[in-house]
Amino acid sequence: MQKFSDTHGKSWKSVLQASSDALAVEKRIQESLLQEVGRFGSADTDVVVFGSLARREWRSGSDVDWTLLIDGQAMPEHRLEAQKIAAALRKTKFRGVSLPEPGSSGIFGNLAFSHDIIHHIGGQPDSNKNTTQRILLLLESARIRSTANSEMIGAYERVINNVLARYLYDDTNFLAPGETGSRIPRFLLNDIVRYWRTMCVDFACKEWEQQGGKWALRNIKLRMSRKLLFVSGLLTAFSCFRNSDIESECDPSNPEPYVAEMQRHLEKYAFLTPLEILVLQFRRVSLDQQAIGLLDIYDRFLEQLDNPETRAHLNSLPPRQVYEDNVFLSLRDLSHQFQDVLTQSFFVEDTPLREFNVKYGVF
Amino acid sequence: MPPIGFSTGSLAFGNFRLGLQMVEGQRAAAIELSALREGELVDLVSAIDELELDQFSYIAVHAPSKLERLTEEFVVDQLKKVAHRGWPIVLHPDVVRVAELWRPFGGLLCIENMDIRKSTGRTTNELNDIFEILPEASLCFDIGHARQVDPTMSEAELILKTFQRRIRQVHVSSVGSKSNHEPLNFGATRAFQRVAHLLPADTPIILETPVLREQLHEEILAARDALCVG
Repeated sequence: MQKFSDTHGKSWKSVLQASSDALAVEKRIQESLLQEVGRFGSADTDVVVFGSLARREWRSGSDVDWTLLIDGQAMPEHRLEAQKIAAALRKTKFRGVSLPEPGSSGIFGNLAFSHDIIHHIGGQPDSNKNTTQRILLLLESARIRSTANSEMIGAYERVINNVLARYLYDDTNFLAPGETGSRIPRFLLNDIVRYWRTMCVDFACKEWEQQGGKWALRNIKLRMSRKLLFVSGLLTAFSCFRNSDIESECDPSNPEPYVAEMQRHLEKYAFLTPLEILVLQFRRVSLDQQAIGLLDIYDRFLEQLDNPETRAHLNSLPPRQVYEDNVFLSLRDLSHQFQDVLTQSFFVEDTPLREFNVKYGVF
Repeated sequence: MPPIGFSTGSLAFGNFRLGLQMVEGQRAAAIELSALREGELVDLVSAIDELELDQFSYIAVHAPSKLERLTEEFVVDQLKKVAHRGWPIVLHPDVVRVAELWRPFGGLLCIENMDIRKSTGRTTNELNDIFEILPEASLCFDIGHARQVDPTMSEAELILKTFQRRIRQVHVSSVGSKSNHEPLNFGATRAFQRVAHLLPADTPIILETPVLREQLHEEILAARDALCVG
């Protein structure tokens, strides 16, 4: 991001501020957990955060979505540790304000187990919660550790790697005879697309469940931050398309070396933020101006979202009044601009991204 | 207050001299000189006279955990030089092939309960089998291993109650699914606290946690907290 910013002589004040605030909140959480819980986590467990904190887009009013991820032996103390973490986070303040708790859906704020996340991809056992945890682990997650074991490869990294392995080694696309050139992780791409559509459907579900509560804020987030998350997922799959960094050719009779290389490549993307992925891939196909356009728009979105009055206003705005509300309409207009640049980049500009999208994006 | 200290092997893998250097001048009153790998044994035994050990009120030696090149007879002969000093010898039960060779060590032979990777010495019943052939041996209770074998700590409680009079020292660390020793953490601390009252008073505590020199004191405090000491 910094290199891109320097190259084009541009800076995005709110993007930078949101990123630095996210790191400050993360540090604050770490201190709080050390103080209240003690040496949290272990080789078998990690505290993982999701959402705006993990995307490095912390804004005033952002909540802390977290889970205690367990990859190893089940221990009776895990439940107690999760409860202590929840209690510690309730006490934690940033700039004098308590950190909002995770939503009431139950997806966050408790325990998550690697076996479900890794093995239940698709089918009946793959619940909404499980899909969400799995995809968000790949697209917007970060781990917080106590200092004693901050450097090791732990539960967080292992689960991400294992999930990627499931997507890749169970993908028969790599076994298909024919050309030996670039392949893409179709199983992963399909799940990312599915998750985007799930988020859209869940938006409608929440409208019904919550009788329109917080509709406007959720709508704007869906149009902007949730869409960016999906875009980063698409671009992660696209990063494998005709990518000379994945040098070896796929031999359908022996795809393992190619798949292993792709896994290492995708693992790096799991530790990048959506905006970093966007910049990285748009630069790859010389869509620098479009990336600048998207960052300009997203910067304004983050600026608006940091205004407590705007947030409170959107939170209380009834769905039936949104199309007469200037605050909502202004943000909606911003989201249309965001979509216009995405449409131009993904469907109009003659680049490999368009080719990828036409070939794999929908059908 | 029991003596608390470290295993040289956990501080500096395969280098007892460096491990000793790390604890020099620190508030560690116990030390376990590790010859966990058989290649370390001769060097350790021959160096014992030169080692500066005055700061320790409790000293033990950890025998090799696997014999591939050395014979059991040779290892026993080497360890006799240690036993001569009255230092306990910590031994993994699966190393014992010929029990007669080890019996002369009597109570100085300190059998350690094992982690899930081993096929013996993990539970009370399995330890009973060992103590049947080594009736005078004592126990090095590895509380991290006991928790890994049974996270409910029921087995740990049973071991502590059954072998109360044999307990000579405690090994303390967090042990993960991969059986690696780690610094004490929240979960391990809570689990250990549940059975700490069953440890005989003043049992020497040996930390097997891989920590840096600047973390030694903090780790000793963590062990005191985990075992409700002081």
